[in-house]
Amino acid sequence: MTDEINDKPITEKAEGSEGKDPDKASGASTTAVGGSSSDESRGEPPAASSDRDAKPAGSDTERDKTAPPKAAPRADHKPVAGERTPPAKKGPVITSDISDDSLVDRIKERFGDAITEAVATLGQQILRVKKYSYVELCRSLRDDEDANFKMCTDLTAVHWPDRKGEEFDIILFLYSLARNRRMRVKVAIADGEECPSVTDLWAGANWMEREVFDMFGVRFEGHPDLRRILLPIDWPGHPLRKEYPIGYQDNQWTDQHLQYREIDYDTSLIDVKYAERR
Amino acid sequence: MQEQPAASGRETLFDSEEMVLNMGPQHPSTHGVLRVILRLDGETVVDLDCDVGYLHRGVEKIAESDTYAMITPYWDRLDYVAAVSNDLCYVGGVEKLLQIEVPKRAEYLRVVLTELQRIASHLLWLGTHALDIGAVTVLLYAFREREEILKIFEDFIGARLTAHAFRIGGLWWDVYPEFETRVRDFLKILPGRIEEYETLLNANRIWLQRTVGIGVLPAEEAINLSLTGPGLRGSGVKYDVRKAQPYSAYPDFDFEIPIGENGDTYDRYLCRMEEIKQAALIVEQALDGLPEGPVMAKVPKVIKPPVGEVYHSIEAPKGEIGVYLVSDGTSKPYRMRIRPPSYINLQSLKRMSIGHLVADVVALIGTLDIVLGEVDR
Repeated sequence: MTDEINDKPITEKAEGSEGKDPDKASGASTTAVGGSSSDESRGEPPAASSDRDAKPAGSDTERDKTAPPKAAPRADHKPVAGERTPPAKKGPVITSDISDDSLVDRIKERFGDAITEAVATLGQQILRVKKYSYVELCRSLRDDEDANFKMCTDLTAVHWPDRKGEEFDIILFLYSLARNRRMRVKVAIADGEECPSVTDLWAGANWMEREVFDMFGVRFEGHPDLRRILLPIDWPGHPLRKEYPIGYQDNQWTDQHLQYREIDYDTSLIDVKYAERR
Repeated sequence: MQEQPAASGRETLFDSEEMVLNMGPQHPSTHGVLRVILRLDGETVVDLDCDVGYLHRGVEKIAESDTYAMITPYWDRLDYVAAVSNDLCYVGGVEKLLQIEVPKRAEYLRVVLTELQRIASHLLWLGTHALDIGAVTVLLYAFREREEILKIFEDFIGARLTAHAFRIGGLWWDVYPEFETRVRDFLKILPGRIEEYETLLNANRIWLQRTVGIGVLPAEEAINLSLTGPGLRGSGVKYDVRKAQPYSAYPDFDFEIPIGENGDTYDRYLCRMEEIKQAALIVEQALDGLPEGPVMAKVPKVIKPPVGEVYHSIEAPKGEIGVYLVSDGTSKPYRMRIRPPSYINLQSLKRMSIGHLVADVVALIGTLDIVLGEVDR
């Protein structure tokens, strides 16, 4: 149980392939972050996510200079996107498949093809599940005696605009008090698609899902109260999407809501008011 | 005959109607800019909704265009009364991703500073919580001791509130020569001062009436609501990240995790008071065993973690604060997620308040110990 504890990175793997072969390193480890299946041959990078890494240095900045948010800003706005430095060489591989774990084995057996990935990054276990089995997997992780993930520590999302058809990763962080172990569950969904809600299983997921909706525009099916939470209700766009530029300020919203009035310092007016009142 | 119209007249005079009351965002007891919308039946809370986001700065978005080292100061400003604890979480996450071994001396000094910060944060909580309920004296006493800690911080870091003490890989500087004696002097006076607060509150009849049995949260519900920190421990769940999944130098020290029994506001108060005492014990042990040596590990000038992701969490004064970093191999994180304890704990306010009086909502906001800088990020 303690193998999952924070301070135990997998170092054997890391030292083995330390930056010797950049292509290999990038191919294998992007699988963990965004890829589809870890059982594919590691030399060949998976299609979508490593496209970005394979490009020459200059083109990386191009990716981020994206359009302003959907609710079109006024014409005089020139959004400035945050530019990223191009990736140079890749570091060591920090991800490996989970082996020798009875719970993960049982889950794989039960859900079969629905579990597309079961890896450990720096000793932290991650399960990637298909959308149709997401809630069922969560339910069994919560109620299974050996798992007992009674606490939903966190729920968040990551936007991968280059991955067509599965632009968002919804990531669920679970913690088992009885077993003292953590588990991450990932489910990929397409842009505009609804993700099943887990608020029935963990009441604490309520505000976390609301925040994901607020920041990414991902809707949750079966959520009792899906409203924006941090931003104003009529805010245009969803800021944590990659196409939402950082230098862009929505003056339209500010003009509409935070109006200031010219104060007339003509004292005679004040006198008139007072006179009327008298 | 005479009774009939009188009775109906009384009914129309006192017709029952639910009232909606806005509390905040400029209300002193909400500890910042929190707006609570209450639906009241008389003085009893029927429904409650929190409106947060007034302080939203988009730290997670800003992080995507900053280098790893540049992000650290933003963490000071999340929970601005426990800046050092926040920093420990973030630098710990980056160090884990980079697989950096931090020198022993730096780890011990980090524990000293973080536990002092825990004491300072709990003292601020104690003062304001008591002030909200009506005991003004405690605020003045608690701030007196907090000031001592802030002075120690100021002489080391240069800042009192947004104390940016840690760097990725250790500490920027070693502590000044008198640091140890000053901390020890503070630890000498602290137990007597805690006794003073306890004399004022523990058996105070008004304090007991305002806290005992208020906002009772059973353990299962607290877990289901993702509550962490003293709020969860007050309900009798022994979960503390320092013990459960130790980080930094915490495995080297002996300390207890106080838990409550009833899960009410009074138990949560007792838990925090005991945590102050335990934090003082940890600081003492860390100073006794403080090793010599460097305080900074070898860290590359440009930090480029390997492609991958990491989740790292620590026990902040408010609860479990966590960071989830997704690296794409560049010098800037692809995504940084903050797990904010205040934000997630605030969810349980609704569950705790329903059925209580309006005045108890003030006590319950206090007992959750929220900081709006962290709720809104």
